[in-house]
Amino acid sequence: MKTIAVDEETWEAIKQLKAKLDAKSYTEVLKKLIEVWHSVELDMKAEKVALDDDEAEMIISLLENSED
Amino acid sequence: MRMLPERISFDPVSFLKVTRKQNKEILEFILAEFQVYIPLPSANAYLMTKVLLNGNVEEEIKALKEVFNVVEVSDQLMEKMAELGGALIKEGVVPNFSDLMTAASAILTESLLIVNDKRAKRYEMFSKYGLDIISYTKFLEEIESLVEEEARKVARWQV
Repeated sequence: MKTIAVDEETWEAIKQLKAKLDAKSYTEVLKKLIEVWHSVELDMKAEKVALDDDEAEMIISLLENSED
Repeated sequence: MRMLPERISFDPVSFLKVTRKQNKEILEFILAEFQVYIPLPSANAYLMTKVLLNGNVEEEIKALKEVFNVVEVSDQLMEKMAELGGALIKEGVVPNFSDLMTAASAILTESLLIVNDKRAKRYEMFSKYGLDIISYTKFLEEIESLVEEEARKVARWQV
């Protein structure tokens, strides 16, 4: 097991989160936070590169017709 | 059982299809599960669409590189394109430049190339030189079964 130090404000916030999540340990709380962070990061990445459906369809159609 | 490799790449049309807003959730899953390589012709098709939408190209290139591995021009890529092109010309086939660069990028990055269904046949000529391809429709079917598999795993953990 490893120990990490946090400031008072973070400690209070993480205690509240542990209660809200009904988590058995702080490891469980941190794992959940990491999982959510990954999910949010993926959502942001996918949003960043999303193409408008209509414009994409137009270019797809142009490419498909010009390629053959 | 997972049939797809960790590394994948997209041809221009399949890349435009997968980055459409309607596929955002599929793309999130792909980003979580695979290392995604984007050949320059696919990056170009994507950026042309962004220009059409009045996007700032410089910023769009930055965003594209933050999310995907863009296969840039390098000595290795030029070598692979020349080798592939030369071998095909010996066979009497002159490959389309965009197809050649896309195929060479996928071979170089050892990734499975996802191709637009209508183009699958045209990429087959690169198969004997090490290119692995899958059609976009078949790829989405595989993704769907992977998603179901993941959902079953989560359900088991929650019991």
